[in-house]
Amino acid sequence: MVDIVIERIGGLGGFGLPGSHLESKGEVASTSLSPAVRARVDLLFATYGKGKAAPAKGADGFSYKISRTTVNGVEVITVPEAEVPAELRDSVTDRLK
Amino acid sequence: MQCGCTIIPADVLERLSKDKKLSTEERKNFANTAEFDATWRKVRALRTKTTASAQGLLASGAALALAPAVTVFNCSTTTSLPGTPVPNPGSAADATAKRAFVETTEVAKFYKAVFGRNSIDNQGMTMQSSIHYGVKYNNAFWTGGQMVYGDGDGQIFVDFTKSTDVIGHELTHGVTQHSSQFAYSNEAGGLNESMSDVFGSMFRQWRAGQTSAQADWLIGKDIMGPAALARGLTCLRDMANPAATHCLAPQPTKYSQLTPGMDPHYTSGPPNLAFCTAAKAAGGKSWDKVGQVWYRALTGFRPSPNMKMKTFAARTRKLAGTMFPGDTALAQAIDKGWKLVGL
Repeated sequence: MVDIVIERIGGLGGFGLPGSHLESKGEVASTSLSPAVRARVDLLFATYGKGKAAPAKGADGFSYKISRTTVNGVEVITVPEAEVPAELRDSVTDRLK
Repeated sequence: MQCGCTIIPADVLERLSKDKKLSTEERKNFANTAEFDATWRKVRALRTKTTASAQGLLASGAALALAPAVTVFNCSTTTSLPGTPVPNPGSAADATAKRAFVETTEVAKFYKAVFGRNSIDNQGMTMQSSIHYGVKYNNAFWTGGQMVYGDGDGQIFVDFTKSTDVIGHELTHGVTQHSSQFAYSNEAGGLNESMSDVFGSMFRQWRAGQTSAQADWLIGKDIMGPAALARGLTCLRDMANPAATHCLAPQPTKYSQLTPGMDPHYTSGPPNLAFCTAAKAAGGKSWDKVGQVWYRALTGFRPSPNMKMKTFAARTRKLAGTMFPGDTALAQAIDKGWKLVGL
């Protein structure tokens, strides 16, 4: 079951901004991930879910909005690209809308 | 070196390195990450401290070089930075490598000839670019120390080195980092992005020898792929009309439309329009007078990470009077630009 939804946002082109024609989304089932990647995802939610601001890392880089559904409901975090596991990062597809 | 820096606390990495639910290899990876992360944090802290110290110590005029070295690295579709060095990039068979070298060199010449600036840090800093980053990667970015360019997916975007303004845009993020240090969020973030569009566009106009009236003021025109063009989408942004429907990501045109937390690529719309309007009203080449005022406003003051647009606008108005005394047409042009966006 798909329970993680990933959206790539920002970048030089402005993916996912209001009115933007650029969209990049993907889906992943957490059961398809290795225990190490699942643990890393848990850590991302534990870290960024507490409202910790993403550290500044240059400019024009992508961020990823990651939503996951758990027994507690839907959680959403926004994470810089460098922090996102490749398994999630590579799930997105860029398209025009 | 691939950036392995993480924001995961060291104690958590250590706990995972001992988690029996994970395989031996996974535990070892977390242990290695913990060790690397500790080292990386020290390096990063040292780098920040060194940059600050260098800016103070070298303010006397010392420079690494009279003109910056320009280097190009090839990531070969990986995300490992910087990649492998491209020997003699100026005569490389790889058109992307050659273009990155030539246009980066031209940006260095532009900053030197027009503004008297010696590279990104005004102290001859080497200008390093990495090309062919990732697989069909639809982006270009500034890491804080170098430029990185993707090849594009060939549909929405083509090779990101193909737009001269994109190269000027990324390098200007470095200039901002080494001068005003505008933050990358809220109003300062919008100004940070706007500075990169403004100087990127000026560089493209300078390369073409265009006046403000002749320029198209489009950002990213030459990286648009066939799928985007087929939809009538001809640029990333239009500085003359930020809300235009031919933009991939239209922007607001009024300061009053901005709210905290908006992306800098969105909030750069009003200051972009202000600059374009001022430059066209002033006439001539954008870098002759209005560009000089913007450059001084960006680089001629102490760092101000939380700069507000209203303060920046006031700064340019004041500079117009001090840099070009008696030039009422210039003062009126700059005033017209800011008033148009509500500042």
